[in-house]
Amino acid sequence: MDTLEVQPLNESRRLVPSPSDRRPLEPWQDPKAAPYVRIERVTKQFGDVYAVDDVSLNIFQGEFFSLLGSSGCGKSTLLRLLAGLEYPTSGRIYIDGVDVTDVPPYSRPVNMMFQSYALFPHMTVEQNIEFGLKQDRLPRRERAERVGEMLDLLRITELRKRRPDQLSGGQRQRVALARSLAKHPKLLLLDEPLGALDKRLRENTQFELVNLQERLGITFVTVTHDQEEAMTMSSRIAVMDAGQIMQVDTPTAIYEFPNGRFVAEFIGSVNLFEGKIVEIQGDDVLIEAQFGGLMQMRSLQPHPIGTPVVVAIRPEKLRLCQTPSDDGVNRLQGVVEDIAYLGDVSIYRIRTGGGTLVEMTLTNIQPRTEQALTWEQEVWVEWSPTSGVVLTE
Amino acid sequence: MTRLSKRSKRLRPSGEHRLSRLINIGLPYLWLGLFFLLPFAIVLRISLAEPLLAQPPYTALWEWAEQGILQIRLNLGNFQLIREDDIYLAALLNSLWVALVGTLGCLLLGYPMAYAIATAPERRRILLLMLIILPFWTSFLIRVYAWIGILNANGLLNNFLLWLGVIDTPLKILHTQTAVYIGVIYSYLPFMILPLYANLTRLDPTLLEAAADLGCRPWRAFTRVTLPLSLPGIVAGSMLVFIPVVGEFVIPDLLGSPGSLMIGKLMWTEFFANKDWPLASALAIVLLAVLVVPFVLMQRLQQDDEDGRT
Amino acid sequence: MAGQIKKTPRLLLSLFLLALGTIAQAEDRVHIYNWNDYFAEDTLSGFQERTGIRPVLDLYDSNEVLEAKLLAGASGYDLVFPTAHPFAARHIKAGIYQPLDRSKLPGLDQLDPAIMASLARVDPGNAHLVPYLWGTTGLGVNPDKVRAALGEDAPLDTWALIFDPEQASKLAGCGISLLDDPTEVFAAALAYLGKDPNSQAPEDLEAAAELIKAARPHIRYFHSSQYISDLANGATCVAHGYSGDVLQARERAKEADKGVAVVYRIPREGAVLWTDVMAIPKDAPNPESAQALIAYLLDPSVIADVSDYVYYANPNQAATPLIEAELRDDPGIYPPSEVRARLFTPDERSEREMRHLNRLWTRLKSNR
Repeated sequence: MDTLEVQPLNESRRLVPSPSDRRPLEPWQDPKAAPYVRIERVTKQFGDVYAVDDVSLNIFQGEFFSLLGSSGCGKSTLLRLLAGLEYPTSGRIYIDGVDVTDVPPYSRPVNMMFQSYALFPHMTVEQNIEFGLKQDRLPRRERAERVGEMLDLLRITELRKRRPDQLSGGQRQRVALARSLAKHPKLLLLDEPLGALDKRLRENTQFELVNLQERLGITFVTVTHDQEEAMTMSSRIAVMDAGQIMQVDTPTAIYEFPNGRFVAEFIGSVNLFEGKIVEIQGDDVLIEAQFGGLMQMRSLQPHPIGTPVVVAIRPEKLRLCQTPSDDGVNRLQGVVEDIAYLGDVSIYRIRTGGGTLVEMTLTNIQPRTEQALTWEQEVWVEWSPTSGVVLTE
Repeated sequence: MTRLSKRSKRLRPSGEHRLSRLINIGLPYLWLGLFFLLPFAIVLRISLAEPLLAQPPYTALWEWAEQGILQIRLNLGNFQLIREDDIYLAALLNSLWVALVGTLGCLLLGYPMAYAIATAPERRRILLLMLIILPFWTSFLIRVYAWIGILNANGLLNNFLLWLGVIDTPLKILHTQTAVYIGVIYSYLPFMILPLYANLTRLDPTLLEAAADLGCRPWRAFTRVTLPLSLPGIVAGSMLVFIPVVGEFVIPDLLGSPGSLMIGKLMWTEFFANKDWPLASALAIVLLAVLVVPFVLMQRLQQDDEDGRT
Repeated sequence: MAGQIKKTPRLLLSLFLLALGTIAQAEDRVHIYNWNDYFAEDTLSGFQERTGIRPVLDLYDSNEVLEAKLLAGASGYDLVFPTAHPFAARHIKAGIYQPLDRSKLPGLDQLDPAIMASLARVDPGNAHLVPYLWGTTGLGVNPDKVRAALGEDAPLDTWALIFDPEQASKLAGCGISLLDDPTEVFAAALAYLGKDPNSQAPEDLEAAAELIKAARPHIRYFHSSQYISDLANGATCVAHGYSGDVLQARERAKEADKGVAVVYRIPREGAVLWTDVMAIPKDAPNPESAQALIAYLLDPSVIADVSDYVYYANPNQAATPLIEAELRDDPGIYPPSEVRARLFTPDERSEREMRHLNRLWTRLKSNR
C-alpha cells in the first residue's frame, strides 16, 4: 500500500540545485525583463490588523518563489490575494500584465494548492482532477487525456478510483498537486505544500516539486514557514515579518548577505557582535567590538566612521584554535561550555570573557574518539574579514 | 490496513475487555429488543387476532384445548381486508403523498434557513437556532390549534388579505389539504433544519475556495460541492420528517378536510371508534413495512458506500 | 461505616412508613375520569369538604378514548362517565363494571323513572349505572345568517337545514358542520327521512347513506367539539351538536358581544336523547370512595349546581326546583313534553354492524 508514496524522480537527482546553476539568466537582475506577477503597494487590513502592509513585489516567469516567515507574518494572506480569495484594501495586482485586482478567483489564470489540500471528499481522485477541467467545459476526450496526463505525471494512476479518505497523506498531496496543475495554469500557488507531510517524506518531495516545476516551466509561488524548505527549493525567497517584506533575494544571498538583523537571525543560526566603526581601510572597516577587541570586516556598503554596527557571522564560518594567531583582530578567547554532537557536525558553545556565548559548528572530520576538544578547555575563536556581514541595525 | 489490524490485536481481550465489549454491544440490542422488537411482537400478535367485546378486546392467539392440544388461531382476515378494501390503500397513498409534499416543503424552506444559520457569524448562530427551537417549547397541539386561528375564514390570514384588498372573499384554506401541508411543514421544519445545520457547519469552507479557484462560480460551487456533501443531512432530515408525517394524526384531524384520508386517522377510527384493535394493529404493521423498506434500502446503500472505502 | 449500618434500618423503617402512608392516602382518594367541563366549579371541592376524600380528576373528550382505556384494563380510575347508549351498554356486556351497593345510595329513588326504565333495558335492575346528566343532539343555529340565506321565515328546527340539498347548498357558504359520529348522523338522517331512527334494515341504512352522500359537498367539516368556538365566533351557521355545547357557544357569543347570535333547536323530525351515566370499573382501586362520590352527586343541591353550570339537564326530580328558572324554562334544556315525545334513544347495534357503519362513515366523509 505504501509503495507509491515516496518515489522522487530519478532523472536529475542532485543535491540542492543552486538557482544560478539552473538559470544562467536571472530575470530579476535584467532591468528589461517584465515581471509575470506584479504586486504594487498592496495592503490588506482585517479590522485594525494589517495582515499585508504596503507590499510591492515582482515575480518573474518560471520562478520558484517562496514567501517565508513565521505564522501570522502575512505570507498566506499575500498568497490568497494572488489567488483572489481575498481582495486588497488598497494597491493593485497584475498577472501577466493584466490588472486582476478585482477579478474573482474563478476567472483568474491561477491555481492554488491548499495547505489542507481541500480535496472534494465526495469525488474520486479522477473526479477531483477533472473538476477544474469541467468548469472550463473542455470536451470529454480532452478532459480524459488531461486527467491521464496528470495521473501519470504524479504517478497516481492506480489511485484514480479512490476517494480522498482512502489515501495516505502523501498520496493526497499528490492528488492536490495534480488537481491544481490539471488546468495548466501559468502560475501555481502552493500554501505550505509540504506542511502536512512527515519529515522524511517532506525532504524527498522537495526535490520532486522542484523537478516538476522545472519540467513544466510554470511559475510557482509557495508559502512556507520552513526556511530549509525555502532554501532548498526556491529561486528567490521573500522573508516576511508583520505584513512587510524584509528582504527578497536568492537563497544564497539571503543566507550569506542578510540585509538586516531580522533576516540574519531568522535564517539559520548566527553570532552577532555589536560594535562601532573606528577606521576605514579600503574595502574593509575596522570595528571596535563591545566584547573588547577589534574586528576587521569586508563591508559592501560604505559607512561613515562612528556608525554603530552589528557583525553577523554564521557558526560554520568561525575557526577554533588552541593558540591565537598574530594579527590581533577578529578573535575571542573563551572556554568550551557545551558540545552537541550531531554526527556530521558538532556544535560548540564557547563562553567568552565578556560573558557572551558564541556558537560554532565544526565538521567532524576525525572520529569522535580522537577529537581534541573537551569541556572547560580554553580556546580561541577566530574568523576572517570576508566571513560575515556588517549590518546597521 | 496494517495499522488497523495491529490495533485490533492490541484490543483483543482480557476477560475484562470482553465483558465491557459485551455490554457495549449488548446494550443497544437490549434497548432495541425492549422498546422496538417487543412492542412490535405485541402489535403483530394483536394483528393476527379477532376483535372481541372484552377486556382486552381481542381473542387469544393460543389456547390449551383438552388433552394437551395447543390450539393456535391465526386470523389473517385483517390483512386480507386491508388488501381488498381500497380505502386503506387510498389512505396509505394519500399519507405518503402528504409526507412527500411535506418533506419537500420542509427541504425547500429548511435548506436555505439551515444554510443561512450555518454560515452566520458564530455568535448569532445560537440566537438563530434558539429562534427555530423556541416555538417547540409550547405544546404541539396548541401550535396546531393556533393555525386554525390563522387559517380560519375569519382568521388572521384572511382578515389581513381582505384588509390589504388582495382578495374580497375569504380564502378557504382551513379544512383543506393545503392546510395540512402548511401544518405539516410548519410542525416538522426544525426536524429538517437541525440535521442540515449540523451537517452544513461541518462543511470545510476551503472546499468552496478550492472550487472557486478551479473555476467554479458560486452557484455551481453550491450545486457541485455543498449540495452533494450535505446529502447525508438532507437524507437524515427527510427521514425525520417523512416517517412521522406518514402516520400523522393530529394535523389532518384538526386542519385537514373531512375527506382527507390519512392512515393515522383510519387507525384512530379502527382503534377507538370500531374497537377493532386487530385491524388497527394490522394497519400499523403494514405502515411499518412500507416505511422500513426504504430505510433498509438506504442502510444498504450506506453499507455499500462504506465497503467501497475499505 | 458503623454509623451507616445503624442508620440503614432506620431508613428502611421510614421508607416503610412512607409507603404505608401512601397506601393510607390512596384509600382516601378517588380517581375520576370525566368529560371536560362536566362538573360545576365547586363540585369536587365540596365533595372533599364533605367526605375528606381527595378527588383526582382526569378529562377526556370522547367516549371512544374512555372506552379504549377501559377495555385495555387497569385504567386506575374509580369512577367514569360514559354515555349510556351505546357505550355503557356495551361495557356492561363486556363485564367491565362492578355492581353498585344500592343501600349506600339513598338518592336513587328521586331519579326520573322514565330514564331509569330506559337504562334498565341495557342494565337489568339498574345494577351498574346511575344517570348523571342528559341532553339532546340537535342543531346549533346562527339565526341571522340562516335567515339571510334562506329567507326571513325559514324554519330553524329542522334537519332539512342539513339534509335538504337545496337549503344546504345555500348554507354551505356560511358553514355547516356535522358531528364526527356515525350513530348520531345516521339517526338524524333516518329521522329526517321519517324512518325509524333505530332501523337496522339495510335498505333504510342505504337510504340514509345516500342522503348523507348528497349533503356531503355542503358540509364544511365533521368534528365533535370544534363547532363550539366556530358557532360562537360566527365561523359556521349550522352545527349538528350536543345541546349543552351549543348553549355554551351561545353564552360565549354573548360574552364576546360581537353581534353573533346562537340558538339551540331540537328538530321537529325527532332527535337523539342521550344520557351520561356514572359507573365503577371492576378493577377500580377505591370503589368505596367512588360510591361516596355517586351518593354526593345524587344530592339534589349538588347536581342542581352542576346543571346550572354546564347547561345540561339532570335526571334528579328533587333537583329540578333548585335549578335556575332560566334554565328550567329553556326548551333546549328541559324540553316540553310534546318535544320530549319526539326524542329517541339510539339502540345498541351489534359489533359487526357498528364496524360496518363506521367504515361506511369513513367512506362517506371522504367522498368515496
